[in-house]
Amino acid sequence: MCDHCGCETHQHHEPQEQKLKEIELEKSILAANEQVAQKNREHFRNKGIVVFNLISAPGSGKTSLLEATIEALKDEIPIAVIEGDPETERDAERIRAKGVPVVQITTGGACHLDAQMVHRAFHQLEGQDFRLLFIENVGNLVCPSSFDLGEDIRVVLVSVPEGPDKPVKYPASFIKADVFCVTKADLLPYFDFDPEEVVRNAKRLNPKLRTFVLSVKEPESLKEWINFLKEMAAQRA
Amino acid sequence: MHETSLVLSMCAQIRELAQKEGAQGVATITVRIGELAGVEFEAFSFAFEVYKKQDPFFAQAHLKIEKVPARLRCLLCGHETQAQGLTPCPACGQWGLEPITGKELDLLKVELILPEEGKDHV
Repeated sequence: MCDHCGCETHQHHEPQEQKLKEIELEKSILAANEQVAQKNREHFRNKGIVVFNLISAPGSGKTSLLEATIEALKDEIPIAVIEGDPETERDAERIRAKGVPVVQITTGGACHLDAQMVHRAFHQLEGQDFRLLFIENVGNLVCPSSFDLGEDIRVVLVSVPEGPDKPVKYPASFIKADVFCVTKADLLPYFDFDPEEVVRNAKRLNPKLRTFVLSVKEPESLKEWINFLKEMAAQRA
Repeated sequence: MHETSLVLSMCAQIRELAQKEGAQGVATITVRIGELAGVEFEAFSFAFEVYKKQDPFFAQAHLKIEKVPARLRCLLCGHETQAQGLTPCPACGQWGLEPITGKELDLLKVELILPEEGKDHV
């Protein structure tokens, strides 16, 4: 056997005129992911489930926002969660403690979730009754934005301590999002972070963004977000 | 470093096509990547070079990246511009520029190496 490539012949390694064939493709590099994402999307729609993909840097408060959201909505709208992390079941345990079905995806170091991982996780939720599904992506403000998971609504989050320049520095994540949440707003007095300016910059990148400024420590600030989720659930019903 | 996943996905697609065509290798791969696609061109090329070393089918493959600049269109007056970064519309001065190009992440074409006629390569 040829030790170059494991083939049965050496002929093709010798210098020779190669016979080439050019093929035009014009396909997405992520075509395989997009196909699975589209199937996920159809599947979720048929079941009347609204799906959210939460994207932010690590520590922006995605899990905390989910805990507060579940607390506020659990008597009205059944919820399920898919958690994505490089390692551990920690986030899933926090969500499980709130009494909703949850599946943890551990990516083994990968920096994002893809549609196939979500497809497998969704199968583990079969038999559970829920209307809102939150997918908490791996903490990373760059990579997850390239991967459609089949969600209806993509939410990007930035916490006050991260600083006001995130929309300008990470435009791709904001351009592709539907919703932008500024989190940890209770810390505004301690940071140079003008939420109006940050929201304005995000909207300049993506005029269609729906925006919320909230803190899980201040239940009043969550009202608009919770109403938005209720609206979304009602539209799909 | 999701560029590695992108390279894996791209090469899987090409391999599938190459098998259908009975090719024995890949000569060139042309991709089109927009400035707003969230992909680092150098990281993408680097990930491909690493992948090539592990997959003999791609050993001879040359990667060409066509970069697409971001073009933006004003939602209010329709003016098109190639302006960079956060900026109002250069024509009407209002905010609300929406990207029309720059989000591309496409596999445009591949050049496959076919077996020499008469020498069946299996």
